Amino acid sequence: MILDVKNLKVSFPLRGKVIEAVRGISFGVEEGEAVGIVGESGSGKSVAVQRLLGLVEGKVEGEAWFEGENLLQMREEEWRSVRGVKIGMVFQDPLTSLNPTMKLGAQVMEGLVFHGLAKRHEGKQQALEWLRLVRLPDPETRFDQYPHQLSGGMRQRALIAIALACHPHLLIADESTTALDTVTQAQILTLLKDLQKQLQMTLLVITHDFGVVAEICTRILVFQEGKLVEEGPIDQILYAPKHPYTQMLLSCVPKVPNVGPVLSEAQNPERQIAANAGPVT
Amino acid sequence: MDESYWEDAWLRLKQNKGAMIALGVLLWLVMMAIVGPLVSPYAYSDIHLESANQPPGAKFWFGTDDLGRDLFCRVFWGARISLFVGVVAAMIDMALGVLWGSVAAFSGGRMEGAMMRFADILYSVPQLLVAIFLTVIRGSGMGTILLSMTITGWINMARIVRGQVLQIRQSDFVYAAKSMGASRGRLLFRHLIPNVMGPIIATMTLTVPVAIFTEAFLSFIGLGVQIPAASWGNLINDGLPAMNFYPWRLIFPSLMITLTMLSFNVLGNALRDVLDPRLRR
Repeated sequence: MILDVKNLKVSFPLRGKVIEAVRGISFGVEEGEAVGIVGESGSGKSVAVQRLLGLVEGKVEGEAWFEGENLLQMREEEWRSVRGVKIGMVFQDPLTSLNPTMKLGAQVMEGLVFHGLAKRHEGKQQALEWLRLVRLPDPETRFDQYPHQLSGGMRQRALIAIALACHPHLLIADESTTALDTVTQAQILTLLKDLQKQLQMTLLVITHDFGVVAEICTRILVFQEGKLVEEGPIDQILYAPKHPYTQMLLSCVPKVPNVGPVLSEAQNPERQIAANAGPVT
Repeated sequence: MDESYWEDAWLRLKQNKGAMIALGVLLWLVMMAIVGPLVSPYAYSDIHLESANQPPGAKFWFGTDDLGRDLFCRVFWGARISLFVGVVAAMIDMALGVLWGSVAAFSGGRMEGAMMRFADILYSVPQLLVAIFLTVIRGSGMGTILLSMTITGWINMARIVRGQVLQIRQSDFVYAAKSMGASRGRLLFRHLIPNVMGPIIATMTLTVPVAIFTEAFLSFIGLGVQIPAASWGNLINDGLPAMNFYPWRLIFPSLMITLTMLSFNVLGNALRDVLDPRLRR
């Protein structure tokens, strides 16, 4: 088991009251697995995962074992050897998650250089390699461009390249496709799925979108109000949900009536694009 | 930093006629400060008692003072001192203020409170008091002027930088860099400060005239640059009693101060507008 979370609780003191964002969650992630965390806004899914990387403050209880280390008891210096190197994270909004004042290449290289994994020159080669791997068109040109010169989809690809640059064993995608249009979303999902296979890494996907988890995950955790209410293989959750909250969430997914072959093609733009290998946005 | 950001700012600055005139005046002043004393046939401290209080003319372009010293030479010799003091003081203010403000905002909590309250306390000390105090201890001179101006001068910059950093501290790209394992210093110098360079430069441009005026004021009341050395402040002080009979002794140095103050303020305001990230796009 690569990640083993036991009874995780995260709370925030607020004007004398205590807001319990995560109320005792236990789950495990096997190596090479793709796990989805699903829940509505405010269900604690993001807080729980960001706390694992020490990105949110707040009082924490429980244990989170990752490759023999308890993530919840790390100090600042210890964090730095985990973040980026062992656990990578792809954020939600590609428009705001890149530093507008740094060239793209420099941002991909940054982690490699400050973790001492590459010298400047090798760093550039490796960064270009990653940009190619995330299928960013024309990486040599993009390397010297600034984020605002790229489209949303390209920036999301760049963010993935940044998160992967130091070969993390676990990649966390926090609502990574939410801000994109559906076509780009499908492309990014395909990319994540392919990369996971290619690099044999473990993937943890946080989303409120069942379409996303259905696409890439093998197992699903359902969060409600800071608790884990249901857990199981993808087919079981999607087709035979036990918990009423999961049933309710699934009933909110709009169903497109299947009126013919044209529509069913259109329902799955990702397959189409993968087949055509059309232009990348 | 972002090339197109600066290109864009420059393009918009060029459309501002006032700012361009101000820039021209300042460039002219800097050039004259360098060249002026060299092209004048007299030295700034040469005394020609036989031609005291000469009006402006072919021999003495700006006239002479009561000891027959050439005012053209003295005014531009004074420009060297005034501009030097102004720019150096502004740069010291910037360095101290940016460091203090960004560290305070980035640390947050008690550290931030302590740092900003310390700045508040220092801000409440009248600058004139500091100047007199330091002149008594160290004697008058360039070092004393710079010290007494910068001891409290950096606080404005610190406050502005703190405010700006607080605004972007929670940005996604800062979290993203943190999730890659960037150290605090790196976050500060690569991710936060470059993104607040616009307001920093605008504030600095507005600090220069304040520093020039303070130097002139200190020299005017006799705490600054001492005769025979010239600065705009002591030239005005020197010319004031003779205002009714030899007005050129007052008019030329006053004109230079006015031009400088006006130009820096016009330019600073224009820069603040074109560099404001909220007004971009």
